[in-house]
Amino acid sequence: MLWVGSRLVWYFHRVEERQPSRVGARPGRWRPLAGVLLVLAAVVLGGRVADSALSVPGPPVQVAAGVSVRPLSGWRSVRQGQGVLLTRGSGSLSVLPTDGGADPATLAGEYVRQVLQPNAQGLSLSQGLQTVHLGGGQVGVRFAYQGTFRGQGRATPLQGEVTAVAGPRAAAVFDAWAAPEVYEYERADVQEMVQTAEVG
Amino acid sequence: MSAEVDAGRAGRLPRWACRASLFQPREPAFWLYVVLLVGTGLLALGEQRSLREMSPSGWVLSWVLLALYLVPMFLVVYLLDAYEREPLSLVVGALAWGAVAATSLAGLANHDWGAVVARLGGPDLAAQWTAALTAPFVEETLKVVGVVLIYLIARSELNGLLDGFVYGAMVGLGFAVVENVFYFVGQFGGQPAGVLGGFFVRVLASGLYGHVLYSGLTGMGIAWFVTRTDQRLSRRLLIAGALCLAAVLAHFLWNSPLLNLFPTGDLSPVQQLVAIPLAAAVKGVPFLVLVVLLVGLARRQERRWLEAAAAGELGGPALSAEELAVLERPRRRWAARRVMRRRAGRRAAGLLRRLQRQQLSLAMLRTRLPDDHDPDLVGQRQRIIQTREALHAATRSSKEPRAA
Repeated sequence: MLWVGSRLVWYFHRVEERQPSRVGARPGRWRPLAGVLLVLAAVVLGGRVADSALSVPGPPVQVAAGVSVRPLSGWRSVRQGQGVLLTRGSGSLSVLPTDGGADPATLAGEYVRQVLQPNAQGLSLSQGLQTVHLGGGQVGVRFAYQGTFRGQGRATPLQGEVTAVAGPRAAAVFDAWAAPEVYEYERADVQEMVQTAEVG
Repeated sequence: MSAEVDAGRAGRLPRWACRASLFQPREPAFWLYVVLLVGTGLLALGEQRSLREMSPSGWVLSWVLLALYLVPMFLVVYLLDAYEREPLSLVVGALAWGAVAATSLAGLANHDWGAVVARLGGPDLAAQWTAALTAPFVEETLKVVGVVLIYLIARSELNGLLDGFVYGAMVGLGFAVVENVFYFVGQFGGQPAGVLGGFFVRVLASGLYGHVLYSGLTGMGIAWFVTRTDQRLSRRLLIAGALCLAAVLAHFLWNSPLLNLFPTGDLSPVQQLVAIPLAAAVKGVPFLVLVVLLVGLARRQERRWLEAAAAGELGGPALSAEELAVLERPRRRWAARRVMRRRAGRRAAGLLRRLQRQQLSLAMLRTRLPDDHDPDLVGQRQRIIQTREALHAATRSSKEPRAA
């Protein structure tokens, strides 16, 4: 492969000419390059910078003892039973606190059996559990799911992600969902809110 | 049409007959190109590896099918320039920029700008409009940077609108091929049936309308800006900007839900065979017509330049008016060689081909050598005379045995 590459370079170099060298570093050669680099930086990094500037975390919402979450701008929190539901219309994140000391994988399995499976038709889960590390140092597990869920008198296809995190004194299950075509655009917010949550 | 008349209409002639390579170690732009290509190449390799792991057979099939698209498109674009084809290293460099650097950087940027759209407009709007609101701006900018770098590496090679189209279209072709591999494996399921479906939708039904045209147009915009230095800066900016904006708008329309007649739901294969190409044509054909017209105008401009450049040689020993009329049109050149091959054999046709190339080179040389007695021009005329004599000898010898 390397040999082929070097032969190609040699061929082009031989057949085509080098331009007459222009000695000295004239500003005319560097200025357009600075412009090119500036444009590349604006296009490639600008989105990330703008995204960070737009996602302002609000004050923390205490879900239960040892469990709190910080909704990003645009998300509202509603108390729901023992937990809290964060929503911005098209997408939702439910935070359900439980006792600490549990194994996150066991928590995730129980959530599938007790919450997802009874309410879903054609439920499909991602293969394996992904390990996630929260900002506070806690370790959790995550899986994705898709299925048709019954609610408010009709069946709705949904895509979502469950993250189970356990600390020494408290644990929590984060369940985020939205319509399948929309979830891709909820994921970044949801993962950031889980990442900055405090558990334990 | 006389060459003298054309010389007046052709305006300022380009400086043809320079052959610059991509490899210009003394140019800072060359090193920026190399650093960006190598850096993004690592990303691109990782991306291809993960696609191959998702579906090895689908990945291989995708590349085989896309080679069937890449090779003819490459040849069509490369051969568009009828008089002075662009150096192969620069053309391949443009293709590599589109395939490696532009696609890799676009993958990062599209994702982040998509998140911005979702934050500003909400996920519902983002789901419908992100592709239209991010990709045209991000991708067209990243692709046109490739044309700008090629220009900064070898300024002498971008000397007309057609050159800009060729480099831009090559960047777009590289981009389209790699993007399609991602779509075939990532979006169409990756299994052979899905890959074939993706090939039908994205290449057979709509392969004529996409990135090759968009980037070709932005390349023309860059070429206009850098070559028309006889115009006011504001006018150069306006026209180059308008060409780039037209490409962005065409890309926007293609990605947006507007005029979206692509069928949804269960359709029979026959219905799909008809409905998908028709839906693609509604969005793509108007822009295709615009680009074909612009390329036609650019080729006509090059023909005028050739006539003006060759005017000083007409009637001399190297070029006659009849020969120039043949030289102007690639199809006439090809037809003349075919007639020659039939009449006097393969060797004579080869000599005619050489003669035509030498005559074109003479015209190219005249664009940068104003002195009629420049040794390079004299030498080129001499070579033409020798080739013409050899051609006469070949045609005579081919007749003699028959006469005997």
